[in-house]
Amino acid sequence: MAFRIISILHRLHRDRRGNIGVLMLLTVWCLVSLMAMVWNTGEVATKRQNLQTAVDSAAQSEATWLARITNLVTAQNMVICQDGSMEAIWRAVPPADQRVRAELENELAEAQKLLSGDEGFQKLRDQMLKKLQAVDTEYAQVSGALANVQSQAGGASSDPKINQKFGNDVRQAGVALNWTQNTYVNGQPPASNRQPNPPGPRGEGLRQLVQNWSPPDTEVKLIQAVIASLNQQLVVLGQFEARSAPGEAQNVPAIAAAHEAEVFDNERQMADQLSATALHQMKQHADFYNVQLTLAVCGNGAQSNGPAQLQPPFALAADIPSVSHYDSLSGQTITIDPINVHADEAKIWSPNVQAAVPHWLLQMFPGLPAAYTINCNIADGWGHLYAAPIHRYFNERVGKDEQGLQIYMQQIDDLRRQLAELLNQLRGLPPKANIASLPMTISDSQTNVTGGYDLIPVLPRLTSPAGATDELRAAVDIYNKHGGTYTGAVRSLQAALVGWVHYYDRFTRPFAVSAWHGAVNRARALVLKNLGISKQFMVLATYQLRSIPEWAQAGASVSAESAIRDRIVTDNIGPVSRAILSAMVGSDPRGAGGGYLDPTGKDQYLGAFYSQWASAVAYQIVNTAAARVSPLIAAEWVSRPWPYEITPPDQQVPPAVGMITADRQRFFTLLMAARPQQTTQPKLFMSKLMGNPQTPQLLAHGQAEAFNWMEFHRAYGGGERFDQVTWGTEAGFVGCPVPWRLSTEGGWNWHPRLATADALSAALQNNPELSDFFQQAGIIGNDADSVDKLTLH
Amino acid sequence: MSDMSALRRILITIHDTRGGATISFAVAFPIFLFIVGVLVQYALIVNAKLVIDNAAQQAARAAVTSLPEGKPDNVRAAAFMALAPICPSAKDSVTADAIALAQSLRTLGVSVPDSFSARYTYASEAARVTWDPNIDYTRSPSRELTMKVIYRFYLTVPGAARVVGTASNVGGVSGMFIDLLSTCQVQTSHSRAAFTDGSGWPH
Repeated sequence: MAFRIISILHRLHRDRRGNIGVLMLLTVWCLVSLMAMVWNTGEVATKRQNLQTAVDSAAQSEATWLARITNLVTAQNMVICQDGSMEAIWRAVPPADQRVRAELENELAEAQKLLSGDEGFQKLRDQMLKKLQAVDTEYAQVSGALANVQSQAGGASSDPKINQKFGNDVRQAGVALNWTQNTYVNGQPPASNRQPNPPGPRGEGLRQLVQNWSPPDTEVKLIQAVIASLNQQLVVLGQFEARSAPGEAQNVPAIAAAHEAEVFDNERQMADQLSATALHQMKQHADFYNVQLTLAVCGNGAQSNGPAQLQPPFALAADIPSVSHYDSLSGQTITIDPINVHADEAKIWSPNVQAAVPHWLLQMFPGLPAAYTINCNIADGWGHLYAAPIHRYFNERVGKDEQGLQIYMQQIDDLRRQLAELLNQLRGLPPKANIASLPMTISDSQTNVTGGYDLIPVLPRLTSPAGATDELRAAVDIYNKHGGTYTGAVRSLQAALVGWVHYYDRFTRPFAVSAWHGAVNRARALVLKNLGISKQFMVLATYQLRSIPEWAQAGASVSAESAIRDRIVTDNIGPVSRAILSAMVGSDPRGAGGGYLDPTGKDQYLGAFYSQWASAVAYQIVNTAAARVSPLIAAEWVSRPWPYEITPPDQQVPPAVGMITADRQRFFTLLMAARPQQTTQPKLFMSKLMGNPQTPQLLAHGQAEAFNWMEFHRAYGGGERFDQVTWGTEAGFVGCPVPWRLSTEGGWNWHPRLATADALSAALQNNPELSDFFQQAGIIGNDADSVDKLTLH
Repeated sequence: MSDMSALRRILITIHDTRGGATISFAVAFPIFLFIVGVLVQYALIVNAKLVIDNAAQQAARAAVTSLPEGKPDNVRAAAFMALAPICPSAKDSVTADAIALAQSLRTLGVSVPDSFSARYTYASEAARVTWDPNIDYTRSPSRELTMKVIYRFYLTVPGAARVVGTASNVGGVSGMFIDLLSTCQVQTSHSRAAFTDGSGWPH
């Protein structure tokens, strides 16, 4: 046996055939193995890349549909708003038309009366001339009386000081009288450059104004110009009526309601189609890339079998729940509507309060009433919002739509302004003719003992010195009597001239645009409220009545209290100031008007004298009351739920911006996973030989979302603050950011984007098919921390 | 006579072909082995290049979504994960990240070789994953991005390694290495916060 083996070995040793072949075999095996390794690496990498491309493409596509449907619903909501705007305009046309037509026709009738010389214009002119005559008559009386006093002033008293003072008073009365008659009435330069010039716009006295500004030959031209302009305005109004007639002939509210219902129906249909569209799209991608795909979601729509159904991120406005709330102001439990928020019975309404005048103020100003009523509300209540989810675009739309018809009103107002200029030219008046009132005081022309200049009341009341003769007393009384009558006549003439200057204002005052705005605003509020009642539109699924987040309550409270206090002060300061001023003027607690001769002048003086006091006292009273009431209203205001379109962030903004992660994942995020088909598995060469007998199935996943980049853009909707009041159109300010994502132009900028798969762990738990894909790839667990750590894209 | 014998023996020896094949083999085989070694080394390099290409693609894909969301570590991790299969085990130490990743993979039921952490650590030291550092992708709209992965590949074929590589030490592994480069261009996702200012507040 051993010999045989040795023999075989010897033969093999001698036999050289095939030795190269063995080497070649080994070499080729080596090279083929290397080729297989390279092939396999390339094959797996390519197929894996193909899977990733497929899954990214599909995810982006699904997110595109999600974004697209959101944009479509936004557009539909905008169409609903446009219908509402159309109705608001339609409703605004008749009252505005009636108001403007009535005004123009009344003016036309009045102008025609003037042209026929019946009344008004001529009467005014006659009155003015009579008033000038009365001024002259009274001047003669008062100057005579003053001369009489002067003649007796030297022996008024045995005391030289009293005599000197009385003499100075009489002299100052003469200065004031001379200035009034010579400068103010007759238009002469003042005796002292410290005294005012004549009152006319070109330095005329009242006399020149009367003579110059009432040329009889221009009256007819003036009235004819007025009539011609009014006729032009009526033509423009006719164009307004003709333009709006086709719309007004139809039942626009019914048409709008029908169209809104149709659009709303479209909205719902589009939303309902999303799931089927997404699945169809997924199939298309799977076929194109020849892979198996599955769709997963984090919120509703996950299924026990098969891919998830992509749900539209909307809710019907009618399905948003209302909220019960205890109203601390009324002491009642109320139900707050989620769309017409804080309206009607749920309005934030505070009783008016009686603001007591402080004791020390009553001591200072004894004539004041003990208390004033402070209005603590705004119309329809603090913070009310009609059709809250769509009000912003609706108001913007109405603002634009009203411009179309406003051009006619603008033309009417322009014609009236042109008429004003024309009338001023015809009357020789400067563009803004002003006639200065008779001043309360003028400067003395001489210095006093201290070297200063006394201010002399116009005209001053003279008081007879003690021990004066009866004649002097009688002369002083006559002066005082005629002095009052004289200054009263001067003021009356000045008022008549002012009336004369502004006589044609009734024909030239622009009013059409404001009438149109007023009508539109009333119609706007009505239509918006009706939209909120009907609730025929969709809102974002995250829209809800929610409490102001805890972190924001302190800031919101400060902001609301400040805004409410400011509003109460602003609304009340005027009426209370006027009431206090009236009381002060009536009672003259400081005795400031004692030096004045005529009641009109006295009241004017007292009005000026007490106005600052009145404002300060009113501010004290109103601000104290507002500071007392505003915390109560603000407390209720802050405790109220507000219509938040998205869940408020649980931390301060900034840095938190936009939608919270949970809402984003639940409503706007989807995940896709892909695995190869049987035919697209990697074709591994010599896999057993290469040590990869059980290669796990390839898998790729991706996450995508619909997002609105304007979430971060202040001009469109970003910049939402949760700890401050938000200024709005209807209610002044509200306690939440105004919704915008489904109803404004910025709201239809939803886009798809691939995102880091931060929802993968949640999706694996909710979507069995996704979980199956991962299990087939050898990933059998869904531990959240591990999934998150391994989620690299 | 003796000279003649010696000459004959020399001639006989010269013309004797016995053992020639052995000598030829002894001379040619090392050359052959060297050539084969070079081929093997190049094949391994080609294979590594494919893996690095894949790593660059994985990193680029991670960059598409992770950079706009401020997670640049994801990008590097994606590259290191893809490179780990061709990496030797790091000899110095194993990083905590690598251990945590291996643990996470095992928690999810993935069969992970014991050497994964050390290989991943080596990859993290041998690879440079770079992209344009001057762009803040967290505040950018969609931008084009070039992902560059440079990997210091460990040459394992004796002899051939000396021809193509240079001596170095990476992660405690000494030997011959060659730097391999792969690039990949992608379009990043639009950052959610593209239009915010430095404090995160919208423009």
